[in-house]
Amino acid sequence: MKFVDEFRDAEAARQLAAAIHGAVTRPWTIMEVCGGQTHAIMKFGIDELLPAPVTLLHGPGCPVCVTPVELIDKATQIAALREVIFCSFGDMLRVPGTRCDLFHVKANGGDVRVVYSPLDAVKLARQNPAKEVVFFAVGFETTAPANAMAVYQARQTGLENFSLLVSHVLVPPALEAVLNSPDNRVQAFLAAGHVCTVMGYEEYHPLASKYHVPIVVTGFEPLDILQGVHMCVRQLEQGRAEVENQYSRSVRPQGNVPARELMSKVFRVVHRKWRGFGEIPRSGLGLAEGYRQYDAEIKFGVEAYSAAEDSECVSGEVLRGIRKPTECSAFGLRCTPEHPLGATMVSNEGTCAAYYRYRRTRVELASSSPLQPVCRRDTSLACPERSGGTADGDASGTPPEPFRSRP
Amino acid sequence: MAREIRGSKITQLPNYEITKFLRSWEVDSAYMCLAVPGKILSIAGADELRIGRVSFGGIVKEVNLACVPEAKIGDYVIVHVGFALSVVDEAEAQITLDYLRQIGELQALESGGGEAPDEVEKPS
Repeated sequence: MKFVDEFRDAEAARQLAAAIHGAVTRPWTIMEVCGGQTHAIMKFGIDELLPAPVTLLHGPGCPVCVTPVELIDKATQIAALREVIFCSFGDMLRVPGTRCDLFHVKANGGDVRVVYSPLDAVKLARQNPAKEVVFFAVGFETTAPANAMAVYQARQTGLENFSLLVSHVLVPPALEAVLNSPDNRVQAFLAAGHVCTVMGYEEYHPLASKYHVPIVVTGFEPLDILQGVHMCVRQLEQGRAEVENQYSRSVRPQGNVPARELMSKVFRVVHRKWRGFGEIPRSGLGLAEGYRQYDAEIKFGVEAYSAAEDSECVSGEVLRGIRKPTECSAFGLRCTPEHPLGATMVSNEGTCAAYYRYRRTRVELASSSPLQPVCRRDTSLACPERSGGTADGDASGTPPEPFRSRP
Repeated sequence: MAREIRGSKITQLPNYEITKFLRSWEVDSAYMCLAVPGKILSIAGADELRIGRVSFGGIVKEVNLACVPEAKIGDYVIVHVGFALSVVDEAEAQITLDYLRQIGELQALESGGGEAPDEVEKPS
């Protein structure tokens, strides 16, 4: 495919990696913000091409992962209603809520549907006037224009049986939260290319100068990421902290102006709770005053509901770049994409899922037996119930229960 | 078995050994934040209902083009969840590729033989 294949050239990647080796004199820690980039890094083994002093940390840029558990609960509550067709991106269906996930609701007779685009949900609402169609509007700035367009179209055509359950988050406040964290190790960022395609990168200049961090807007193909790392390393070695644009074939300094105008009509900036970070001020989008009748939280009266995060899953620390998935005792054993403990193992962009799929790891048994790769299908390994307190097998010393399908 | 594994430690492993175990999990499903370039085949409608037929390596989908008013037939657009976010700038793509080529030439010069190394060794 044009604009894809030429950015996957193995020879060029090798040369670029060699250039990075040549440029590095000291250890540097760089965070790639977007989950799509994390995925590409793991898939193509980019981290293994880099010199040892360069560490890539995986950032909070997976919208599914940072969606707080209470929103999942609100989604399952709404989806269980008889008059509702609940539409979502496929990633969200397996994210565990306090009691169950959306798949569970679907299995119990709820009308939960996976759609490719929010605009498909609008069509569905038009075709089913007797039903309430709710779309789970999760995402960063990349997804906001499409969701804004869905609501905009609904209002233009007088569609009343359509609403959004909004959990939109914004990247720059999250970067600031990472930088303000007392245990922050990040020295430079690869900013998310598609977020900047929409928003531009002007708002990153104050961040770069205030915290003295280089920020390189980076694309998603292997050569894009390697070039982004190279640009970061050069800045770090030269003591510069600027905003640079590697992904100039898609990103303009001011972003996509019509998309931003549409977003500012439909959405307003609100405080938002993030999994792993807690509430970050002015870090999300909610529906603007004129579009409140399309807010599913108001429509179905679930605004006031709140829930606490599960304490066993360390996804919060993974999202802040403090821990790597392999440093979690549940990783690949009690927590797998099929039976996730937390959202980072669910989403295709989640760091834990990327490690699970692509990372070359194996389990070294505590005894001195020879190294054995983990057989993921071995059902004799633990697969605890969500509700049964997944850690109790550990605490009591009893072996975890064998595989059981969900009730 | 499970008891032993619980007290275990995960270490790195060479690529080839584990790949076969993970193969069955390599599902190519749609990523939520993934946006891909596709070529516009035709355009219909106007304003917020400006819709294009866009080909992604032969797979054609309907895409909303409302926010890329400058896009015309034959252009490549970056598409996310059925919504075009930008028109790919061919000249800028070429600049990036030129930058990569220059780095390659520079590396070839530095390595002396005019030929790129077969592999890059990771210092331990």
